[in-house]
Amino acid sequence: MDTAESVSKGCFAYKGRKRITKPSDYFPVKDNTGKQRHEVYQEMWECVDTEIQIMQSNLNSNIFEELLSFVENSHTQGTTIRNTSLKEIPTAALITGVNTPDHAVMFSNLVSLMKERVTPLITTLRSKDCPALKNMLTKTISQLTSNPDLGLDDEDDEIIQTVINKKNQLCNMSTLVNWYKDKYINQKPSSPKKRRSKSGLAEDIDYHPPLVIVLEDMESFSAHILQDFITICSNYIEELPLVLVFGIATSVSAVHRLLSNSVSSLLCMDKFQAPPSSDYLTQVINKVLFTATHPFKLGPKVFHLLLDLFLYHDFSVINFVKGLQFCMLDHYYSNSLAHLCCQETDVPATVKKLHESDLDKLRQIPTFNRYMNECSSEEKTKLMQDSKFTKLRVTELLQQLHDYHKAFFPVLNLLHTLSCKLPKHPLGKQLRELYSICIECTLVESDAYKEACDLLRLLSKEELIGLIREGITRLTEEILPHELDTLPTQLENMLTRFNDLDAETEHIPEEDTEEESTDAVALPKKTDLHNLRKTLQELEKKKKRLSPYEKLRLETLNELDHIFRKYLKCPTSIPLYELLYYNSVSVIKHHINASPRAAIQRALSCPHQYLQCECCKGDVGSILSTMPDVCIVYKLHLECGQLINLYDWLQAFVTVVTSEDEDNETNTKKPDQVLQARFIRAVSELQFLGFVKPTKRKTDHVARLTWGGC
Amino acid sequence: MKTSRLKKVSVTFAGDDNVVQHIVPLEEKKTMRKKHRSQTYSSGIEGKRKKSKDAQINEESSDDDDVLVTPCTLEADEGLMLGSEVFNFRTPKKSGQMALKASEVKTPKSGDINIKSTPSKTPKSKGTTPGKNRVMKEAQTPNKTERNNRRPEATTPYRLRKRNIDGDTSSDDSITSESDSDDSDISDKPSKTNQKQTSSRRKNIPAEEMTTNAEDYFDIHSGGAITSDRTLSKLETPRLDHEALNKLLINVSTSHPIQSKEMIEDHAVQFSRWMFNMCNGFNVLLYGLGSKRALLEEFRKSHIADFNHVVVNGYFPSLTIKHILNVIKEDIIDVHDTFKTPLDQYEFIKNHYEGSDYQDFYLIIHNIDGNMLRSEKVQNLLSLLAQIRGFHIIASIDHINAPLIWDHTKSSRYNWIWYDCTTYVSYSSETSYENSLLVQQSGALALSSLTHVMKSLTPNAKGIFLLLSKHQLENKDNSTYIGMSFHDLYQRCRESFLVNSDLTLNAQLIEFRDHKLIRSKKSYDGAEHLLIPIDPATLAEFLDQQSDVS
Repeated sequence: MDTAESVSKGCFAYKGRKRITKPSDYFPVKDNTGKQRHEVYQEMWECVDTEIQIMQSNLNSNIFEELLSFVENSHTQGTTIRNTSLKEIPTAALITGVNTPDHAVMFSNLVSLMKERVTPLITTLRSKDCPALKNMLTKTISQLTSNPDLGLDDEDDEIIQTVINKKNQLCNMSTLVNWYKDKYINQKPSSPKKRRSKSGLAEDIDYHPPLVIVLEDMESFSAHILQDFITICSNYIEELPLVLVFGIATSVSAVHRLLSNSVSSLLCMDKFQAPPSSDYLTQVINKVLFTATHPFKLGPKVFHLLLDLFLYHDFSVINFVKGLQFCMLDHYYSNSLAHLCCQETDVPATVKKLHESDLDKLRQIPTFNRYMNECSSEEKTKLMQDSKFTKLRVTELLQQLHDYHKAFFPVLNLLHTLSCKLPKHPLGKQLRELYSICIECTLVESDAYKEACDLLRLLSKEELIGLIREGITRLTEEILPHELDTLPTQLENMLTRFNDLDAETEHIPEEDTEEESTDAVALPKKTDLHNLRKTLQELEKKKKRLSPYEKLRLETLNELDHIFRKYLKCPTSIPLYELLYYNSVSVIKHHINASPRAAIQRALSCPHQYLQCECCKGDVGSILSTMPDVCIVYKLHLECGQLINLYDWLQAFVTVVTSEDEDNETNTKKPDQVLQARFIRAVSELQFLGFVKPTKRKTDHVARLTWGGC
Repeated sequence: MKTSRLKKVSVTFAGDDNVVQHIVPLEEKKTMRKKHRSQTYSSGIEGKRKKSKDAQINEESSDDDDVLVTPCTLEADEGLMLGSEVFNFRTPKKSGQMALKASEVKTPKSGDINIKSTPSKTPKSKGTTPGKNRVMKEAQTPNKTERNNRRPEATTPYRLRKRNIDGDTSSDDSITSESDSDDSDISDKPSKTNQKQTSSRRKNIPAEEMTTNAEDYFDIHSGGAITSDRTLSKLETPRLDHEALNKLLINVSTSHPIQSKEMIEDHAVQFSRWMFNMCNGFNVLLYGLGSKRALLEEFRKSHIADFNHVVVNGYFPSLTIKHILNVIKEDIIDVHDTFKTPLDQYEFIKNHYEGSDYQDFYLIIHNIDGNMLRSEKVQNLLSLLAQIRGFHIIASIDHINAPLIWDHTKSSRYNWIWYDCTTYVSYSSETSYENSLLVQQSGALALSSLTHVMKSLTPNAKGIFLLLSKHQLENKDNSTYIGMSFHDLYQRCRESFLVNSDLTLNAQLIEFRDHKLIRSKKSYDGAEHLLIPIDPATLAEFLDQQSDVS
């Protein structure tokens, strides 16, 4: 059945036999490694995913603690407050930040925590579920009483709703009151014990679990519904220990914007600020990318792109993670050797299984190629021909790459602790900035690094000692590879030497004064400006050489510099890095951050780039008769202002299209119907694409909807 | 073409570093490139144009990977070069001239159409400034052989060229970065057989398009609408009806059928990739010029015919979200319960899929940006569907502003992976429902329904309606006419003995209203006015018809 032509239906269902799709079926058939790659992908992704999930649950733990205690105490904290501030509903305003995609997870975490520790009576409301007050109340009450059948009458009719609803609501809220009384107040003798054992917080026997209502996206509720809801709630605050939790994406002022004075005065609000999502991102990146445990890495450009999307588009960690997932997916999908990007322990086995054809592909990898060229000619021929030897070497190289990562990240951390507080932050404030410099080019040769070194050389002793001490603690947090075992002690030694300096300080001032006095003698001689400067500069140098602290500082920094030089090599310089680093930024750009309008306009204005035909080639502005109709019409319409006369447009179209034929006047005057039909089709396509729309401002005119464009 | 492309594939494994070794001194390189080009395009024009450009070639071109040269990358460079040429000549222009030109252009091509641009005319109209001539020689002479008689340069949209220029400065960098990113891209993928074609086609579709200039907006909106007063009635057949249109178009071959087919084949190579993405929790969104219906249909048949799936024509004019949910519920899950709201329905579907064993389900939406699916509620529901475990959506968009229907919560729920699927296939079924501008659809429909209703009316009722329509036709030039007031109508009807009380008149009017033949409006003073919502031409035709009958 062709679904295109039906005029009576827009949806068509088809039943299939199969139930479950197997992803591994869809790897390119030619690749024999497809299955393996998919397995490795799944393994790797699961590692990353679980790590992120754990992080998610730990995230916000502080703010959640506060919130929980607020909810707990809101109604137990002495009846005095409640009596004085009659009818005020305790409300927690949770400022969540603008990264709305992440919020669902956050709230579900919050709710499960609260259920576990404070009260079983929780309802979460989202604006999409609450188009009217009725739905909101139904939802609230059914969730609270965990009785989903408590729905109201089926009528959706609005007129009836407004009239009857009032009754229903009242009745509903009172049912809730009755239900609550039944369950928690009237059965006093039996229930408190139970609850105590369950939650362990019912210290006084009169404790009643609060009813928590969470509004996830407070700003998108319609104001009048929310106001009514709050007013209703406040009427029952005497009987029900209600607590509201507002999820607010922007700022607390949203509450006041949304609610009128009389309503917001019914609330007793506390503000809770969730940590910004960029903190979360930093955690994710540190755990997933800046570690040797996950072999998959992002190349510099992709890393940049994903970061930019995060920082400039949405602040959504979930989207970042999805981007990361897609990168992994694409890496394993499109790189036929990607299964070598596996845990270190699996490397030898995987390499062993490589086929001859895979090895050929391996030899074509640029960095491996370069590596071969650097080898002696004897080794080179061996690498070219002897597969056993090659496999051995590849295993070694991959091992080296893993080892490199193991040393790389601790040292990177060390450098970051040293440099992050420097004035002007030459190497960035965040570890990720430093990292992106590192993977893009050789760090130690970059200007930023030199600048940072210069600044480090100017540090005072206290600062430097502090930094090094910090660095040691950072290093001890990491799992250090064998070769770096001695690094912390090495740093400790430096520290002791710095401290030992204090003992010598007594001598130094004397020397200094001596020096200065001799200098002072040297200066007053009559010299010209140039010489004076020279002598002053020399004096400066002399002084420097003479301070033991500065000497030691220079020595220390040189030592550190040596370490950085050794371990912070650019990954691109290491053979086979392509296997672990994913850097097809254009793929990511096209598939994650596509610009559909640009694609359409490009297709319309430069059809030859898509069609790859000779006939339509020309500079961007020109209109050729061979182009597809819609392109011609589009290009003509670019010439017009707001309104386009259809008749003139048609004439112009005919002129362009027939320009190749003999010039006969009749053609232009009375275009034949086929041409007219083609024109109509092209115009309606433009209308469909959203470039023009019909207008009534003038007969037979259309309005242009775009300006500019190409 | 194809074989030459394949040949190139075998040598693509050169990373940036290797390229460095290959970089030859600029001069040498140019000659090489020139050779290359003249091989690729046999036309001598290229060579000529090239010469003028070579002088301006900057270092950027040396970044270009010899091995990688595909026609596309070259073309992109070319575009840039020409752009900068035009730029040189355009700078002295004043904004005043621009406005002049704009108003000239606004009654667009009529001028040169009638005179039919002869070769001699073109230079004349262009040679107003000395600067122009110089560029004319450079830019146009090479083209002459190819397209002498067209009205090319004379009407090359000025704005367009200007835009191009504006784009240049910014796009320079982006193209360079793009090109070397592609190098590494390729080196990443030793098995690039399928990758190659698509990437070659899309290689240079970076963001440089969006160089719209705020000036353009004022350009278009400043001068008011000065357009010629010609109307389509000058044509022999001002309006074609839908059938006639289709009949005419059947014989018209689409342009570039071969290329179009090739592109579709290229996209078809990606099918398994789409499937793979969907299996891993992403959803696929296709964009780009040209109908993607056939492509999606092919995909459906070859890859998901074995699974439960639903096809939705988003462009279908009376589609609602309820339909979609109902179809899923009734035809796929086989449950015939009724639900109050779409949200409840969604909850049910969700519980069904997440409550039982894992099952895959595919939802194919042609034009998820279709008119009926654009509302926030519908998109919200669809995006929620996309989140259900085992649910996969593959959809297409065509409207240029389509992505605006998703806020970032929704788009994150959808979790799209975008694919550029430009096909250049005409949107025949998609636009068939659209009330197109030149198609006489609505008019014909209205007329036929009018006559149809007329036949069933009593003579008195006919009289009332004719009276009303005549009055409306008399006032057709009155732009403030809001309809005939009820009182007037009653008076006249009484005068012609059509009704005897306002109650009977009202009864008649209700019938008209039920058939949507009239619309009533309240005027400022609260009096009811009656209007026939049909354009004057149709109404006149209708009156003619009626007078013929009687």
